[in-house]
Amino acid sequence: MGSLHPRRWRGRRRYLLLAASFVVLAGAVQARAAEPERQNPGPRDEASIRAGRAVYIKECQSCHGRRGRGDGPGARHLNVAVPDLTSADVRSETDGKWFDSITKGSKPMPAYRRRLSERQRWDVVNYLRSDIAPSATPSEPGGPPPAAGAMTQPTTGAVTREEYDRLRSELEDVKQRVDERRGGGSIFDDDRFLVTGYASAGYINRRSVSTFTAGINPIFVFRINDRIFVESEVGLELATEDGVSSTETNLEYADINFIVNDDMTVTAGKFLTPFGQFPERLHPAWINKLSDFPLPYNEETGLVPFSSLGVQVRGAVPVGRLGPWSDGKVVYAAYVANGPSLIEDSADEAGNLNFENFTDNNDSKAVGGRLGFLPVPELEIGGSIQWGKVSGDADALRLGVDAAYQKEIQPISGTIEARVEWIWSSVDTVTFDETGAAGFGPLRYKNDRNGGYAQLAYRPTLCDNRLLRNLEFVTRYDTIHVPAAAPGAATDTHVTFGVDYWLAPNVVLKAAYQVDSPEHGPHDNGLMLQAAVGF
Amino acid sequence: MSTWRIASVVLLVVAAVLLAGCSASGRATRDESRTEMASDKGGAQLWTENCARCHNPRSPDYYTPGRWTLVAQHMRVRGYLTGEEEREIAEFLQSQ
Repeated sequence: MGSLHPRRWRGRRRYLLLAASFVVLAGAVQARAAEPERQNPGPRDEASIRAGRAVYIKECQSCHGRRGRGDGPGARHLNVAVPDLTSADVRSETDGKWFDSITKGSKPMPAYRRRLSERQRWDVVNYLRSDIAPSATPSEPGGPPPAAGAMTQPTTGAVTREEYDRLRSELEDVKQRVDERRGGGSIFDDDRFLVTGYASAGYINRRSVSTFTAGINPIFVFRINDRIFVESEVGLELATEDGVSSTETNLEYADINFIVNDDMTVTAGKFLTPFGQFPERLHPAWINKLSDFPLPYNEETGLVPFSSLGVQVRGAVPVGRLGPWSDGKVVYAAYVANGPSLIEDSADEAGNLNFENFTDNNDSKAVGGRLGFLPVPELEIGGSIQWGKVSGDADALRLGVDAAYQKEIQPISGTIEARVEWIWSSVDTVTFDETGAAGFGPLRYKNDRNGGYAQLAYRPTLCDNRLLRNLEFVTRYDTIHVPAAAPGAATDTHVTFGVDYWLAPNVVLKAAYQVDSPEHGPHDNGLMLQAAVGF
Repeated sequence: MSTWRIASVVLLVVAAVLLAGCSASGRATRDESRTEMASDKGGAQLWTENCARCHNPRSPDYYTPGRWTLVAQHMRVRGYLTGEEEREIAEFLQSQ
């Protein structure tokens, strides 16, 4: 569809639909007329098998698995079981039947009629027959006679008047429906508007609090054309502060995206801050494997703003083969934003940063960005920076490193995911309440903070038992170090052990126990339960 | 940060966008070489590799083909996909 304007595309879609209808009609007529099953044109030689293997690896292996057992990494994300190609049932099918299955597909398997040439499809059949699923021997008792099924089909080649009339009326019906839609594209068309998002319901039982929780975050996406889209997330949460309960409505992000080319997009508005991986990509309740955020990314007392108000340039550049690595990719993001401001006049918070800086407090802006490198698809490492003036005479610098690794490992029958992120924050030293007029000064301390988390998850994705396969075990260590003199924040460490149960790829039940080890004060250990849905 | 610093950052960004925009006009030839490079992998493989980096991927039949066009564009930006990866993954998800 390339760069077609939506209106032109809709116009063309009408003709494409019409043309498709004729193809269907012609195909139906032809199917009646032609022999229903194809014969392998052969030969099943080394070249064909090798070519078939290459196509299999590229197009089939991710779901069907290396040995055709239906256990590829993609299989567990499908709503149906991927058939075992090595089973006796499949092996006893004819080459023609296999060719037909590849050609037509079968939901959710794609049809390969246009994606692969006829020759390539036969190559795959030859590869399967030779390496993955050899024929059940014709002499095998109970095996079907070769290609017998094909001969039992009627081969009259004629379409009856009745069938012709039925197809004709179906075509008329399709034409009428297409006409009805002509020029009537709406913002609610599938390819133009989507409400997605996530919701959660939970229960926390800590020493300090015991309560149910709930939240919903609808995300609206408007696709204007191939290059431009608008996205926005609204966070609706229940909050209690100083004994007063209220419903919080937050515009988490609202931005306009312009895709410049294959490697670059410009984003303007309020966007998720590209600092590390957690704020941008892992915070939604159905993605985050534990129900709370790591301490340095806590929205109130964390070290980095979750979202930023400004302009951003971002993208990904393939770097091809680099030494021992294959298919490397460099990802980048750079932005100018309002940035945080330093809280100076509050006895409870002096020295903390205010991230909700919607009207900039000074003329200066914060600049920042992240550079990531994926030497192989399983591994991503990145470095982030944000720098800017946060008050009249103080700059703030934040640096971060992040790494994530996922791998399905046969000997442990499952997939592991390891994540590490660390952040260092440094704000120039300022004397708060210098005259003592506000009643807490003068207060002066070296405002360096740091924190991070390490998380390890294991899911037995290769286990035969479905209940076990849907379980995921998670453990996380997270910590934040705050100067002892800083009010309103404290050095703290959590170690959390969790078990998740995935009811669907986007529905999860989480249970976790958290051990809290603050530098001062009582340990606030507790149980966290949460149900989360991505929709 | 003083005004001239902001100005220079903004200028730099504008220059980068213009440069990229200009090179986009030679897109056809560039994309051909890209196709060669990305052709090592099919859409199915790119789908599992890239989507599973952050979340459990949805099955191809979760959305209609039109909806996948929109979702792929949205996730391309969030998930740092190249244009080529977006097209390959969208094609796979739509050809169910």
